[in-house]
Amino acid sequence: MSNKVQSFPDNQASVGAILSRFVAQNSTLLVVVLMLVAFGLSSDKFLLPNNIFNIFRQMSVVAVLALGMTLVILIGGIDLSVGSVLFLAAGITSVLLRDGTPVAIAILVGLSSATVAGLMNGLLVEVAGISPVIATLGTLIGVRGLTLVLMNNAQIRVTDPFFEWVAITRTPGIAELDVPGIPLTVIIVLIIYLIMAVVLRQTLFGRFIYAIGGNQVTAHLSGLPVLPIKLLAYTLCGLMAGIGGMLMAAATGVISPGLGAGSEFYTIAAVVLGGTRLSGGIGRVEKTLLGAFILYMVLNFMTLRRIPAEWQQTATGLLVLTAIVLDRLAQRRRG
Amino acid sequence: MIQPNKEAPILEMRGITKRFPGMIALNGVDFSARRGEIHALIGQNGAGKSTLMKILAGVYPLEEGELRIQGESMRFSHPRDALRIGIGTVYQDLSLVPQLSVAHNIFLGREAGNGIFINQKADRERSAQILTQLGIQSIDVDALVSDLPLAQQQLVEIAKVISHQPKILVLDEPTAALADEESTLLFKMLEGLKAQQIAIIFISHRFKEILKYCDHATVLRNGQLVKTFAMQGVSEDELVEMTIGERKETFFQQREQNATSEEIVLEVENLSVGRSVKKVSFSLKRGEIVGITGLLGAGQNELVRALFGTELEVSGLIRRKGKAVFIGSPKQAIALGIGLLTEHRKAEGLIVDMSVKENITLPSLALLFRQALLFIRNRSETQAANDSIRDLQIKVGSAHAAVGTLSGGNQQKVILAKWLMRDLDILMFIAPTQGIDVGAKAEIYRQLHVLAEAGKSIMVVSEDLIEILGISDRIFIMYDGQLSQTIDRAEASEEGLLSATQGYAHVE
Amino acid sequence: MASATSGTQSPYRLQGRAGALVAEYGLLLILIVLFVLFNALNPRFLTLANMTTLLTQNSAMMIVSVGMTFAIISKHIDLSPASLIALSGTIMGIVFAASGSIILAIAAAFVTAVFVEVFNAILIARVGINPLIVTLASWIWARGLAVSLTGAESISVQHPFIDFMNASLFLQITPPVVLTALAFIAGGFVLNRTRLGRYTFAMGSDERATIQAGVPTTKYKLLMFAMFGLFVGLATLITVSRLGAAAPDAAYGLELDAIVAVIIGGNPFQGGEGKLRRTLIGALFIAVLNNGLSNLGMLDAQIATYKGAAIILALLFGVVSVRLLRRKI
Repeated sequence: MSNKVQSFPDNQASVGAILSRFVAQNSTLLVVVLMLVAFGLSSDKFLLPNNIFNIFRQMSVVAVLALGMTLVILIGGIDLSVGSVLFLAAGITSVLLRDGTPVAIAILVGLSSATVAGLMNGLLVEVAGISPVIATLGTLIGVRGLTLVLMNNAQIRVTDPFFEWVAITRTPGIAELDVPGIPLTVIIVLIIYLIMAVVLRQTLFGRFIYAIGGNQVTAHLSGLPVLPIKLLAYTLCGLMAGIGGMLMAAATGVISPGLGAGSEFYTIAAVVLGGTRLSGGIGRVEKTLLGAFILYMVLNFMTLRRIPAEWQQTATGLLVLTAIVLDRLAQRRRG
Repeated sequence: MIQPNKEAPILEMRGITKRFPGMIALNGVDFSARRGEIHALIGQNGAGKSTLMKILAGVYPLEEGELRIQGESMRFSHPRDALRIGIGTVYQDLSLVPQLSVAHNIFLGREAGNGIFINQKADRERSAQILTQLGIQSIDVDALVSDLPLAQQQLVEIAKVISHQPKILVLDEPTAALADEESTLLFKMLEGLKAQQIAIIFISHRFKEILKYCDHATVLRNGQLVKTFAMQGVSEDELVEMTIGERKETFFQQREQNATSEEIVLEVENLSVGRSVKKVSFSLKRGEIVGITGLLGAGQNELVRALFGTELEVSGLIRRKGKAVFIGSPKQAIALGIGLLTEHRKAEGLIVDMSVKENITLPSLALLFRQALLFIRNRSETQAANDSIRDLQIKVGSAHAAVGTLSGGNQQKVILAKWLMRDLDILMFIAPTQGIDVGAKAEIYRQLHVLAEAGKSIMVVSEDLIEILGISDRIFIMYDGQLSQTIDRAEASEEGLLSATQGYAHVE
Repeated sequence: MASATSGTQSPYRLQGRAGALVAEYGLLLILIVLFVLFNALNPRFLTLANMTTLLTQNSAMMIVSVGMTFAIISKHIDLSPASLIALSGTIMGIVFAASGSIILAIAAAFVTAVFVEVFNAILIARVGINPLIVTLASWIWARGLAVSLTGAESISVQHPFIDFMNASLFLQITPPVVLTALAFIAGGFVLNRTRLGRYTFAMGSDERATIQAGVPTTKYKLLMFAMFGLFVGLATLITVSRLGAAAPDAAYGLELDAIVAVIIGGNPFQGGEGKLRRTLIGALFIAVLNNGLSNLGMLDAQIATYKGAAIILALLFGVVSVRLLRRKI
């Protein structure tokens, strides 16, 4: 139960104290910078703008999922079904598109279904009282199955011009400097993050989320609407998974039965790498974005160095573990 | 039957002194206990009883003074050492594992059997034996502890401690949460232990039972020994007189008596809360401060919490400004202009990881600092928080500091600031100055006066009789779930209050 | 006259008697209903042949659910078993291919499983990291390692012992079924008669009080995870035998089935209490769903949907009956 957020004594003005305070509060950012430097030195292709933008593009979907997951973890819960909800949204939209529905309606229905799935998770956890791990595990299984039924267990191509446009569009680059344009998907993700960061910092909803996650009893005794806020967190997580599904549909062009399976674990990894506490109340979406970036930087670096794809998965798992262990050991030292 | 015991005491503590930063908890206290006696340890809160027993139990290190068991000098570095020597302690928060059975709990960690297997039958038999020896008939050794009522859980805890075969048994307020019949059973058991020549040390506030069952008593006051004496022939008045003493703190200003108006802001009729509060009725006037006191477990906490909407099984009528209301949640209470500061500062009053500013403005955000429906007006929020910090003299570097870094007193001020910002009519406090330094205490009392003058109505639940005397206009005495007496400040005295809380008729 | 051993009924129990019965045996009733239902839809369901097939197909999952019961009772969730089965199986295949000795290969499988579980346990008990994260990480890296070591291909394992594992002994009962029964019996024994079992309950119910009583909790956590490793090793053996090969994508999703089995059987996720017979019913429930639905010729997709719906309904049912149990006077 460490509360070392801004709590260093004011009278320690020594360089060492200032330095260690800076490191503790910005550890994620520092890790990112360190990795950029280390990987950049190790591979001359790493720091090329094209490559960096590639990383951004590859991490888009998990980044969006991780945003919703951060909200749920902040209030002390968890959502293991995000991969399946992503699949739900993408699947429903693809089916509607195939049957000739206008793209706007198809997207709307897809996002709505994901939002409803999120709300259902919230109700199962907060109203029915089932623990979050179990409840969202059930949703994980059921929602994927339901989607497969809707898709008749086949894969569906998404050929709608809108999706293709989203996938291809970039900002104009700077040809002379070899800087390609920023993909539209990346911009969408950044905008969503920007909105959510502002919401969490500047709105009542954001303040209530941190209060409930920090100490639900106090929040309740202070008259806050605990249940509605928690439900909203789960619902937004569903919506984010839906948005992830749309991005995925645009990126891959085909919705196949295994879409999104297993992504919940990478999502949680990104959130945890970003410094959000599983117990709730502490964490920032900006840092989750950094956490996702760290994850995909490592994957990208491994690909550049031609490490086989199979080893990449091992390395990722061990990386997440090491990061947590180091963080916990450091906490012990500080605490 | 009290036999004068001529043999040397099994326990001798001499010149025990214990210092904490900024205060002396025990100052040269002598204490001894003999085999086969029940020795009461009496004193107000803060007198040093728990500290003394914690030194005995090895929880606090013995720094100054001497501790002898059966003549041998001892120094414990860990509670387990004390247990091994034969000192068993039963605390108020029980150390039982809820989902294990009685038998499994009693021998947890010491099960019969070898390194791998457990001999269940032997454990069950041993436990049954212990319970029988203690004269406990009604507990099934296979029952899950969590299924037992608190009184029986306590008996299991005692059985667990007894199974270590202690020579000295310390009980910390064992009857605080028990009903009369249950206490009687407990004492019957203690008589049995007495016959086995165990020295029993009994910390309690309840004079009636002390007079009835204990052989000897030691009274502490402000960390010093007042007297050790045999109970034979002692009267309740003498006990009262010995327990009270002049306190050095005299920072209560005289309140203007006429500040209280006659307007009634809250009426309570036949309020009952579960088994803790039984048909309490009273009315609260604008601008008055009501002090509520009683023995531990007399129902004062539950009464006040029920008025804040956190208790279940509440029945009776509550009227706010003449209109009947239903208070089913803190949100509803706050909407009715009622606030509560509980005794659990960090667990219920603050969000430790958030800043001082964020804590202070929490209940008021939606009401006062809203902008365009969703956003927080940062500047006015910070401004208001700074105003609060200044008004209450909260010692903190900036409003953005994490509240967890503040001292106890300042944390309490933050909680007070939180409710003040909401501008509530009725403020209720439970143990407002517990564990707070003298300076902050004075500050809080001053604030209470200010609030009352401004027309707020205040209820303070406290065990500190001096505090109750110092700030209240009227005093409610809670005894056994009922509002047994209402005393005006002019007629109140510390002795009178103490007697009243003990259940004796009000003594002038 | 009531004595200490026969005692009076605690008032809480009395009220919740009906609820207790429903909670304990409700799922069993539902299971029986399922049996009847599936048999009505497909008369070949309730044949001996199908029953033993059902049990054999799900034996790995059922064995893992025994270990998972311990984990959940002690408040430690373990997401790693499926990935561990893949990894241990891979090691087993490699050792077999290299040495030709089935005994060595089987030993290697067990050693791997136990080693990884204890490694996780040290991180959880000594370093103090949340079990969800630790086992989540191994969920990722263990399977990744399995894939890396085999180059994403299966390693064939042919040996008379493997054939034996797939043969039927008597009454068409196969060794995996026997092993499953043994696992439950052994698990029950450990849970109820050994210190490990007792302390598993104690740690899950109130770890602070358990430490205070002098119990070396770290040691017993390591022991518990090591034992889980043994169960995983057993499940690996069965999985490799049934496939006739060590496949890096084996047992995908098995840990979820195991967790669900423990929970819908009626063991509370919060830990502190639990019974293996509940896990048995829960595991049979999942097994029946798996087998019955696929026998009806359903596609994986539909199976998943119905399975998910059934799980959620069973969970809600469990919640309701727990509320009945908790009703106090």
